[in-house]
Amino acid sequence: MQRAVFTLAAFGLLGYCAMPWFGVDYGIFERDWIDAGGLLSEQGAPGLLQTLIHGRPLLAIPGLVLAYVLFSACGIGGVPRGPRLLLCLLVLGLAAVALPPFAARWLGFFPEAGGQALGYGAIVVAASLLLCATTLWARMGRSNRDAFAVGSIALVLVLIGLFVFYPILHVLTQAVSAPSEGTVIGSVLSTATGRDVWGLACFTGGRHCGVAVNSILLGVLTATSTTVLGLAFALLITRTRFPAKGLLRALTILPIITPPFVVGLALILLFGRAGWVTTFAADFLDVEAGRWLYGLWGVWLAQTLAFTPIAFLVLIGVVEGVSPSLEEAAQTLRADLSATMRTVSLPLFRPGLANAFLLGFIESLADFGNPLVLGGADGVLSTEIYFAVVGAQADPARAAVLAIILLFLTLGAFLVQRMWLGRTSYATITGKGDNGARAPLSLRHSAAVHGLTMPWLALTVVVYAMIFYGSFVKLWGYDHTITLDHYRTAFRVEWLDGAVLWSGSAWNSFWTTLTISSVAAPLTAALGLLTAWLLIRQEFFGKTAFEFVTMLSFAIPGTVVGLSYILAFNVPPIELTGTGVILVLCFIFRNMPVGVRGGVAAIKQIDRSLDEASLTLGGGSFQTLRYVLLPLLRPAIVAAVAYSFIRGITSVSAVIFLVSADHNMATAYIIGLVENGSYGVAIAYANVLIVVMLAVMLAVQFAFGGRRLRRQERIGNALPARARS
Amino acid sequence: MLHNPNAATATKADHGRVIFDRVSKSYGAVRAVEAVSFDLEPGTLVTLLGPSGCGKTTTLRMIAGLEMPTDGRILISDEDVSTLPATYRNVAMVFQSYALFPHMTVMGNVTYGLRMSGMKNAEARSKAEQALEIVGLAGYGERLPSELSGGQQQRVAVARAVVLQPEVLLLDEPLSNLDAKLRRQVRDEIRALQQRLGVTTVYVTHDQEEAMAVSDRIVIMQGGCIAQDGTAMELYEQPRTAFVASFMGDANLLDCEALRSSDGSWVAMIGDHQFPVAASGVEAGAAKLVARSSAISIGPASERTGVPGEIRSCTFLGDRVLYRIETPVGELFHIKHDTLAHDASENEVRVHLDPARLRLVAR
Ligand SMILES: Nc1ncnc2c1ncn2[C@@H]1O[C@H](COP(=O)(O)OP(=O)(O)O)[C@@H](O)[C@H]1O
Ligand SMILES: [Mg+2]
Repeated sequence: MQRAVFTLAAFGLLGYCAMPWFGVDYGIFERDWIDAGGLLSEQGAPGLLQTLIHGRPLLAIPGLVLAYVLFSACGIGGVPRGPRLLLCLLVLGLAAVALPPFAARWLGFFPEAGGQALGYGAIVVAASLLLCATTLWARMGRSNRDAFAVGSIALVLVLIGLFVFYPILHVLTQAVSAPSEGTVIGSVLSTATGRDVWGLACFTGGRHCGVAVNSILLGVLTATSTTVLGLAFALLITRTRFPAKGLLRALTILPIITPPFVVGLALILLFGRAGWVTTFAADFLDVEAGRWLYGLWGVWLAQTLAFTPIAFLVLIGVVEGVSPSLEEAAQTLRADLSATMRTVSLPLFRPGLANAFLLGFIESLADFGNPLVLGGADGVLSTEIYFAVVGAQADPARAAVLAIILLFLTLGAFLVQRMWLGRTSYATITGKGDNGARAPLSLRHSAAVHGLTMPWLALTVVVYAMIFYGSFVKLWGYDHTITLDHYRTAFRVEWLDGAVLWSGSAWNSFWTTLTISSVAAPLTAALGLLTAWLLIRQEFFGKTAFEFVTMLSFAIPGTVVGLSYILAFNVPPIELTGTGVILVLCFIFRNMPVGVRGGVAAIKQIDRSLDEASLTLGGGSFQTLRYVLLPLLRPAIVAAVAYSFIRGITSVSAVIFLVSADHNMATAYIIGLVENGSYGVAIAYANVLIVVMLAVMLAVQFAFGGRRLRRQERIGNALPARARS
Repeated sequence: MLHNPNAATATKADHGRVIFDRVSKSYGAVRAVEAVSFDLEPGTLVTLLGPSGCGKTTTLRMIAGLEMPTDGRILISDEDVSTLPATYRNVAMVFQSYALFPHMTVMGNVTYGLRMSGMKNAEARSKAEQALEIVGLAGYGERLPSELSGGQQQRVAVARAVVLQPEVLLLDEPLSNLDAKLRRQVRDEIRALQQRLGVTTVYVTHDQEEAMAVSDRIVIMQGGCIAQDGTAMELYEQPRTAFVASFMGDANLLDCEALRSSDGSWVAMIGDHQFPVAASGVEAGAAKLVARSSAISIGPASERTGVPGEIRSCTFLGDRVLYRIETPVGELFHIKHDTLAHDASENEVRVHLDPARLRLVAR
């Protein structure tokens, strides 16, 4: 451990002496930076020069601390080496790096430290100080002397703090920032309780309800319809002789690889003003072409289509999890099929139904693309936040207040889900060979299930056909000649003087999207799995809170994340707007909970005695993770990487706040196309994305799918582990 | 040969000695182990024996360093290791589930510990090959654990542990995943291996026969505490509590009054029947009389001595016959190995208790 401290401290000193302490305007490998003076300019100077030349005496502290730690670690200079003393010094150094810039930003102290974004040097020094401290802490005999675990906990906590809670804090402070007139409380209250937020006019004959009312209404409608449909599909698969079950299951991956608003687009092609169905109704049935699609009902239809598979995935687990023997028992007790369903099965599904409902509610509230594309005059919270930032009367304070309302709604639903449903799950996988037969549906129920699911299925097929077909049609509703123009506009590649010229309008955002997603995906998976490992395999103070907080970040709607990032990282000490880094960070911390969940599920399947065996054989916790767990977790890792990659490509809500001219993302670009009415190009682009993601999924399946099954059979012990007796 | 060089040449006699000094472990409100003290001689095989949930595994895991005691001290080879985690202890464990790494070959598993301590690959392999040979699995190195039978997997787990030449070898119910036929064989192999390597070994089981067969010494645990420890014979012949008496082989336990006569000899009073007892483990007063089947003999009803008895049932079990006899002092069971002398028609008998084989224990 002495050596670990030495290496860490040496790295820190390197950062202190040779990396720019503050953020620089250019990449450090660019010429411009050298021209501007490089390390010798005031802006580019490392900590050492900042202290000596540029009059920042506070920055001497981290340098001195690191030097002291380095000396003590290699035992020269005869400096005292008490770990307690070193630890105090390290904490002091950390405080000297981190506190002044934040204090300057928030409290106005240390004005000389403010105004400049922290750069590579500061980051390296801070990380080195932190890890030196955790290593020493472990060496003092705390936490099982496990330097790796302590360091990981500290690192994950700092990262979540900086990139989840620090930005949210900015939303809160923005909401209570001093208004141009009146008092803070007055303005917050008037925004938060205004008629445009909570108004109920649409129920009393007026035109529009408030945005919060719209959001809640939409959430309840969508949650209800997706839950009902999800249950119907789950029953269809488990309790009827429906022939194409495999196809149905395949359909459930569609929403994963479809950018959410694409469904809305397809609906426009069907039911919009120039839509197929609309014109057909106008021409042949003489029905007035309505605008009903552009409002709550249209958004509801799109969300129902988009989110039903999610409810289905929740409910199929529940429906399959209820042991058939319970239903058989009911039947031996003289219950007929209907009565069995009513009195035994449905009550057992109830927690699952509530779960699916709450998930649907959260998804609907967080959805941004469909309301933006279809919402028309009926704004919802997520779109209203966006317009309050980018709209004509840019009003970040209002955006922040709305974001807090949205946050409360989704967090509330999330908390209800966790606390109320956490305990009551009847669906159990007992591991006992339950070989009873499931009760089939009674005739009436069967008719209802088919009646609900078949039209939906037809609509889904038509919608995806539209997405495909629409991209080849010249001008939807007017000129239906088949053409490749849209693809050409977006993805043209030309040969010019022997060089490839990517002249299509979409290439720029396309490559950016792929790059950012593929940078973020492995980092997301790594951080998620590390966190999962800490949660399952390590005991530490405050673990429950830690787990809760990690999962909580899942429930923060993308719009709120986007807003919080733009508010927090627009100004020093952490200045990231306009860079690709902010997009990568946003993806990592938005998708990390997915990695955590996957990792938790996978690690739980691996018998703890494998870890313990490795520990008793002299492996440390890092080696155990590296040589025992990681190889066994390979399928989970691959799944997490693939899933984060895909979510990076499809996400809209947070990204749309963070894109810049240099770093535009595919979804944001498509939304822009839709706003300009270029539906054809938009859909063509969306198609390309869908194909890319499908290819990624298939490649992953092909490369790892087969092996995964064999591996999974071997996970745990070669023999079934008996309960410890 | 794999031999623990330290054990052989140690001038320090304490290499491999394990000392528990009033060690307790609680999980929240559950007190799994309470104030356990013992001192395990180097090079011996000691069994922790007791019913399920009595704290055997917890004790073993504390020796391994997988659990830290909430109270008390643990010393291994005279060094206080109470807070030293498993990684840094020179102790190896064979897990109940074997815990073989399923993604590594047998060779990978056995060399794992050596590689972790920084040994070169070639050297680790040759050591591992020796270890595999010792457990009779030479040539199985390239197989995956899933390609081995249960018994072979167990041997790999043992090889993986002993290849490190640990100061202490720990085995948690090593036979529980094997079928009945294999158990006796593997148990003898483990004992032979332990004696050959001379490594201090702690063996956990809930089966008293297994314990008696392999151990130098047995520690009987009950409810997180040590009920009694000693050699198998001591525990069988001189149990101090009714629990120990009943756990170490079957015994008739009769409530009685222990009396000490003026000449120092002991008598157990049950109702108005008196039974002389050669030795007592208790003070005078309320006690239990332990009468193993071997202390009981049956004679014809015509005899005057002994207690009258009536045979309630007799069960033929092949090599022995099990009798249940109703007597004025309570129902007694008795096993007779001479199955030919068995006469089913005779119901009234006289029961004799041999004072030298009776024992008084605490209620
Ligand atoms: N991790 C744990 N958390 C809480 N209680 C535990 C834990 N491990 C063991 N116990 C409890 O401690 C007691 C002793 O367990 P154990 O040592 O496994 O018994 P055994 O003698 O069967 O091996 C039991 O009551 C058990 O329920
Ligand atoms: Mg046990």
